Amino acid sequence: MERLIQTLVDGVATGSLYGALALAVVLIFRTSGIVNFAQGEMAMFSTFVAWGLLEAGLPVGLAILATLGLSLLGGMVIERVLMRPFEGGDHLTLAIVTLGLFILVNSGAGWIWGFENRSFPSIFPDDTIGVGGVDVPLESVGIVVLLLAVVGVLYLFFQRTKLGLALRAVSVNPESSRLSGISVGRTLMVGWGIAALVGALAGALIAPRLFLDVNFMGGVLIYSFAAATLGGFDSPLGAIVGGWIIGVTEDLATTYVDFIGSDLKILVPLVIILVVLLVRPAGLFGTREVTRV
Amino acid sequence: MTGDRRLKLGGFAVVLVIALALPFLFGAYQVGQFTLVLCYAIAVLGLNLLVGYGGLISLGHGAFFALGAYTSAILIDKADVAPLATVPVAAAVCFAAGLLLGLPALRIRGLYLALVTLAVAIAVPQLIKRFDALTGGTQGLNVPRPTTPSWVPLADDQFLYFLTLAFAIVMFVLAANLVRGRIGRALAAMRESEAAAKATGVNLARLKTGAFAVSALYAGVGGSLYVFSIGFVAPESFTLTISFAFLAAVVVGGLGTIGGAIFGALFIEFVPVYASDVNEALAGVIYGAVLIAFMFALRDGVMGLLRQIAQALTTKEGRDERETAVRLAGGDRRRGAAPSGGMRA
Amino acid sequence: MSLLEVEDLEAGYGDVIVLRGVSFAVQEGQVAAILGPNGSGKTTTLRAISGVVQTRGRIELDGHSIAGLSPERIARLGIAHVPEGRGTFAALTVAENLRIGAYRRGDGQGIRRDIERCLEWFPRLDERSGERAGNLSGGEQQMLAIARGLMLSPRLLLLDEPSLGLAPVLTRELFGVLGDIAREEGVTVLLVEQNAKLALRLADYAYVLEAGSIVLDGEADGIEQEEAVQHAYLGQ
Repeated sequence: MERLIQTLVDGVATGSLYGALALAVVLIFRTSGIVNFAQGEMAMFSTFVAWGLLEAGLPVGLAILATLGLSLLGGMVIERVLMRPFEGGDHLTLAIVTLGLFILVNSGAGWIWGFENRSFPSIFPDDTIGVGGVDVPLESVGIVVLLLAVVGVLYLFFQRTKLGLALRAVSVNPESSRLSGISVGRTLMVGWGIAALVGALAGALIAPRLFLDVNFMGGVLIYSFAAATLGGFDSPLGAIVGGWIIGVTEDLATTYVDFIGSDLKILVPLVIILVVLLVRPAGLFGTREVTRV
Repeated sequence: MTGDRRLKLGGFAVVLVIALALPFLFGAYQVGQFTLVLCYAIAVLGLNLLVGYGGLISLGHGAFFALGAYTSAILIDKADVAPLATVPVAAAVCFAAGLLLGLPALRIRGLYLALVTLAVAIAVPQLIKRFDALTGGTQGLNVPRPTTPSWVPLADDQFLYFLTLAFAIVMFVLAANLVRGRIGRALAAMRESEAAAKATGVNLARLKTGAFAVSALYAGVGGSLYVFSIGFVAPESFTLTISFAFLAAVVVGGLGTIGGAIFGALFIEFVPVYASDVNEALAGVIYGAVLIAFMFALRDGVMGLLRQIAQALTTKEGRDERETAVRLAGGDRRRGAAPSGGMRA
Repeated sequence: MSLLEVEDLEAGYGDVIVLRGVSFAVQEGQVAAILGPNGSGKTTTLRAISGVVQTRGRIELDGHSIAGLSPERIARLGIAHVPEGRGTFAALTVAENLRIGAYRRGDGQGIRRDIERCLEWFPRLDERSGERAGNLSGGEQQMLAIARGLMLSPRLLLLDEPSLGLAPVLTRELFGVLGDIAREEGVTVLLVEQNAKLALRLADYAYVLEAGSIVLDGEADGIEQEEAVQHAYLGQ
């Protein structure tokens, strides 16, 4: 029983991390209508920047905050420089561009920081906390709480602010947005910036659990895509819930099903993606239009 | 269009002559590299059929390449099958696998397809390691390379090169025929608009599954020949990197072209992918930058560039013809010229 | 000086030229209508003004050229284009649709007041202000689109085929409200319509557009009397 609760808590925590990156992916999909294959690598790059700031002597919290700010800017720059010229292009072109970005960022990070593993500190103290009478890592609980806070802030941003309204308008109907005087390009920039920021946060939270190296977000990206697919690619809520489901399923599977060792874990998201796409392509919370991609 | 056709045949002839001469102009190591280029070219050609002509995104082409390679390797190593005989088997196995993957491809499209194939590509090295009794796991399998028969006056590397070249020529000719025929037109129609294609009677389901199967077959042949060249298979050779490399090759060569596969393969062989650490980073940066740059400026890849050059250098009469047409259209703007466009053959 | 002046306007899509040198003007406070058959270029005219299509020729608002500006800029200069098909933000609520119409404005008080006014003009929207706009009927969406345009506090309101797809009763009601709005708010309106009868009743001045050229223009009453117009557009 104790093992079950620990597995569940860990699953929800891991799932929150998948959900966080999935959220970034969904944000971009909603605003720009494309799947950003480079989202994980962007997050990885941001995490390395944070690491660099740490090495330079900044305290953890400050380093991460600075990184979030830089990532916001970075995301905006990427939209303006790389994505804007391809606005309205066909899916193949856009997919190739984001793949090119994936490779570029991955190798760029390797070039700048090398390919060795390094460790990354957690922002949470190494402690335990009682959940349901069982001791679980404080970090796990902290991650879940932090993610929920982020979701809350984003919700308020999108629903209560003018800029958030503009973002929603642009994602629903860019033409009409233009006719109402909204600068679609600039709004998209903000969307990319926010997504990059969320991705950076995800990276900073994931890095302590794995080793920080240029490929550490690669596997996570697949899980996040699975989460987004399960939740519905245009649903932020779906990204989170999908993440939780996948996190818990994965942990339960690896703990209780012997065949799936740590090396075949990657099959879990793959199978989930296939099943969802064959049974209910719109996912749990997605809208029907999503499937007409 | 005969002018265009003449150009294409002429280009093919030139490339063929160069290809035949290569093994006698270079040392064993370079010849080995060119042999690899041919293997990749076959695989890239298959991917181009799927992506360039069919408009379906696959990020998992490396998986079929691996499947072909391992099929050959296992048959040679464990069952003592003659190397040449393993090639058709690898082709058949990959064709079947492609059919299987093609089935879910019917229901999903575009970016979802990319996701699924991406996940498959990532899963491949793990699966290889998992079934290590068969595949040799992380250690891989050593496979003796085909040697020159005594009655052929060629060095081993040259013989292998010509063997691979023979296969490559066959695969290229088959592809060219496929593309020029009914299937090629159906693929093009599907790429432009699935709804429109369906309306004209194209069986989308069969076409997509078929496209997958054929592209997988090509990858399988490429992978099989790759084993002969390298003499060794291991999971590390078949990571996501190679799937990306194949896609990059398609883009560089030219989406929707046959000849582009050669240039793409040259690109991925000679920009070191599997090199040492420092080079690896630089290679990746170049890869990524090239992919993006090509989408910016050279949408039709090297083949597109060559075509533009060829057209610019074309006979004066061709140019005059075109000028007249433009003048007519321009002067008659009031009558509203029909929108240009249409599919590239 | 007219509020809107258009001279020798050419516009089209790619290689297809739709407008072949059109000239007209709209006075401040006036309701002007453009009539004509399908494909004559009526919608293209509005899109040319709002900057959605490429143009050649002179387009001036208040004496300043707006040709070649982006749609966002033109909207900010005070031209509200209510597009054909309404362009509703289906996934957003009615109230949010209105707020987006006022996006470029900074006067919170004024916006709130204008929202109230819009809901007064269109009580049906008031009833459903919290609902998803996509759930509204065609007529209600048309009202919402017009209200969204008004929220811009525009100098010029461009209306593209407001009667399209609406039942006759609803259309008459809509045009009645439009007339009231035009009179009381003093909005300058350029209206493109297939329904010539209603358009001529609403408008002060009318142009008839055929195959990309203006073939007739004049005071709305006069145009209505024209035999050719009666024949072609008024079913007589």
